[in-house]
Amino acid sequence: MIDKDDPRLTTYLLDEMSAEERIDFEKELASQPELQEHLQQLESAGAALTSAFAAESNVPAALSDEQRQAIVAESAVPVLPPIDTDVQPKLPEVTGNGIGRWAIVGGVATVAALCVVAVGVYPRFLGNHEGAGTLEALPRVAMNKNRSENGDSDGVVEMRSATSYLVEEDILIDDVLDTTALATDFSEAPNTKAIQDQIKDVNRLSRMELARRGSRVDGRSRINRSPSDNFAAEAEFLEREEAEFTEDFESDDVALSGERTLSGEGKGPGNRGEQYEQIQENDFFRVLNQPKSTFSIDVDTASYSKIRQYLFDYNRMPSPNAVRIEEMVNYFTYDYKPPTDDKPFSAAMEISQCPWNAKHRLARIAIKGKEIDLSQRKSSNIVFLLDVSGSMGEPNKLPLVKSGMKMLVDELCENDKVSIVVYAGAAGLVLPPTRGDKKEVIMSALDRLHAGGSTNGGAGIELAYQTALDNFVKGGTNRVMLCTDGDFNVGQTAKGDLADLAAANAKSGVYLSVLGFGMGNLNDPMLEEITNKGNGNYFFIDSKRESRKVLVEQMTGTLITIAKDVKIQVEFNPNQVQSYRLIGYENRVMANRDFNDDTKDAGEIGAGHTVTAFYELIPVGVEDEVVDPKDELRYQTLKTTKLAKSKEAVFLRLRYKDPEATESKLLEFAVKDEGKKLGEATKDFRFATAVAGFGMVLRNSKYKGDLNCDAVLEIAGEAATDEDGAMTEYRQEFLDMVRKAKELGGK
Amino acid sequence: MDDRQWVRAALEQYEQPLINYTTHLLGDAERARDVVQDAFLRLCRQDRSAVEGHLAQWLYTVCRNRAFDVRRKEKKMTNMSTEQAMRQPSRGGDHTTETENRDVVERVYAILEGFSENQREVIRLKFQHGMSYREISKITSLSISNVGFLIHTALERVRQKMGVSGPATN
Repeated sequence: MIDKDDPRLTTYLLDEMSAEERIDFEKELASQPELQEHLQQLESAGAALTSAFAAESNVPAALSDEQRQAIVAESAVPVLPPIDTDVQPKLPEVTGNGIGRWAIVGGVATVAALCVVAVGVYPRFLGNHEGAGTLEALPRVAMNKNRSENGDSDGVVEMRSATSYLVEEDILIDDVLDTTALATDFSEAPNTKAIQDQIKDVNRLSRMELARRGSRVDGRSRINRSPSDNFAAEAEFLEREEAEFTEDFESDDVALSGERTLSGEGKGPGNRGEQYEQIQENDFFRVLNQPKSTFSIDVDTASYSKIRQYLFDYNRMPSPNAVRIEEMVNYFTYDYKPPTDDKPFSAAMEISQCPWNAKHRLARIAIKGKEIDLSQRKSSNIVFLLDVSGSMGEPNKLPLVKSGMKMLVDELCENDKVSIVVYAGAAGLVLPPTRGDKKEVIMSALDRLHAGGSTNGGAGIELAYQTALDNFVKGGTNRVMLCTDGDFNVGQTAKGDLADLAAANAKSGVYLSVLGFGMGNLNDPMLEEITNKGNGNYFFIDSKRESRKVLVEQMTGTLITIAKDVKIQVEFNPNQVQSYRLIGYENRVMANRDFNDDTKDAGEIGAGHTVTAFYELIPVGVEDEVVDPKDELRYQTLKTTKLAKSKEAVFLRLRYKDPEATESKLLEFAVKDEGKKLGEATKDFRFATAVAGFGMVLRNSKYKGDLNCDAVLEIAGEAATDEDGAMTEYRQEFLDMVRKAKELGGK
Repeated sequence: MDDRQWVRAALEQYEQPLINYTTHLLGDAERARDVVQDAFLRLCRQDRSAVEGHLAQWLYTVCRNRAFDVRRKEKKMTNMSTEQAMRQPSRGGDHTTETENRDVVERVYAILEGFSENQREVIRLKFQHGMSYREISKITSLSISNVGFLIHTALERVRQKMGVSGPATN
């Protein structure tokens, strides 16, 4: 049954279907003759658009003569040929795009076409879609039907092209470092010198070494291999190559504008659609000018699993913008003392030596949420909102979603209710609220799911929230769990609208968790924002093991929120601390005035969760090379309170709300710096330091000093074990990740 | 065709559509021309075999990335009404005298105003620049299914707003 909202109607009309899809679709269409009129109107709508745009082409839009001359002059400069052409198969060319067609068709002509369209629709219905006639010829122009359908060959061409492109760049690096071509390329880069230094670094390495370093060069070395006889393997290989090269092709622009270096850091595998927000690392602030620092807690862990996927599954360094240090540090559970009173969490602080700058100090804020025993868990109302759009069909997506959901369902009991909403082209409730002990019913509903169709996340999330509200459990857990590969910001629903929807529902008690899957489409900032607004948490699931961690081992934390809008404010004593810098939490920093404002949203903490944050401090008396000493006030002098003369270094204030409350509570205490050396700090402190340090290495932080993978391994290696010398598999894995990064060239 | 002729041919073919496209991204024709020039300069330095076969997609992608760079630099990330920006010159140089056509154009513009920026961009790439879903997906970094959805909902909206009294019955 084809719905009028079915995007396939348009896909069909615009001839964007594969032959197979078209045959199926036409069969369906044949059984619904009432849709013909609808299709006609859609086609007219398309023609109206075409006509309106065509009118614009009457406006001359040309480059200036100087601009054209510059281009023509440049085109006379020969481009160096690629060196690997001999091993590259000659591939079919895909014809160019029909720009001219669209631009040439003037307004009048198109209106004429438009009328014919109205009359001439729709020969395809009468049978053979290739049944050309004069009538069809016009709609073909208007609706762009005669495009190449061979998507696959298109991809192959692109892959190959990108290869040549890379090769060309390598030649530039190797041979013509000082030519004008390169100089022009980098002329706009703010850090031209740095980039050129890097190029020289790369230049020193032999090609073999480059190949081992992975990333772009790695990709090329693979293509040099003779084609495998194994067809399936070859197909997979091509697919992977295409994904990687597309990225290189597209991100090239970034490299040229100086935001990216030529070292081993990639933007990520297959990340045509992978989106990350630029992270601007927190800088040092002088205590005299800004004595307070405020931020919201964050228990997300998505960034860590994402980094793991980059390193292990794709053999690449992660994009620096995919690295959120707080999410790395908070991936691990630390042995912090739980609250002994009736407070929802405990908070503590420890100050020790900074491993990457011995003169600096590192202050750690450690928060531990109250543990809730599984047996005392209140009943829950969980709505799974599952993306079953076509892109979810890959093995690391929907199948992983299903297995994760099954693990969670295994843990549920008769007090819990589960509903499943799916969305693709349309949204639907595939499992009405079902008791948690009816596992077979839930499992078989999960089993029946399959991926297909396009994505309509907006409708899905509305239905999911509605289902959750209809089954609201007062005082219990009410949560929508969205599983998606991130292709979510679609339809008429803009990012802001979705975030507002999530925020409104969070107010009425339905929280949101997001589980991200797969690679390729992930819209990271979008998913992070809607979970922030939706009082939720954001995880990235790259394996069954990660599902188990999030949905089973830390299930209570994931499902049960024990405090919301948790804000941290730190005040520094100017007699002790000169400057400070918050490590990570870049997108969680708040204005100081918002700390006491209960209408300002902040992060949630779940049962048993630990939250860790670090400040790097420059003590008084240490030469402060980081903050400009000239940045002094002309009219004010420091006037301190009596307490400033005490040994207190920092004063910590925390605000939080109980899950149902609207008014916040305050928790505050002072901390002294006992002058501990790094070796005297707790193991958890040192391990967390290593994790933060690794994040700084991956982000290539300007504050990392001589920190490198080896140093991280040294700190973490010994601190990863507990009293008995045992190491959790997560900490073990962290060490493996650092080693892998080192191998990939992450210095 | 030698490389020089090839670049000139590309210039002939894509100069105007690229300026149009980029102007909509930037809301400013002057900057758009700079971006387009830059794209062609880069094309000159490009190995020809690397872009042949998907030249348009390459050019559009480069222009788009550059345009977004410019926007980031100028902090012009707020949604601007580029439809509005383009309408004035378009009518100034409009040779059409048929009121009927102008009426259709006006109504289409009015409907476009109601779409999000990325939806407008996708629609333009499809109906003005003749790109396939796949090319649009590559240029905009949206998934193909997302592109299909955006175009369908847009078309559906145009269909509703134009109504049966629209061009369909003319």
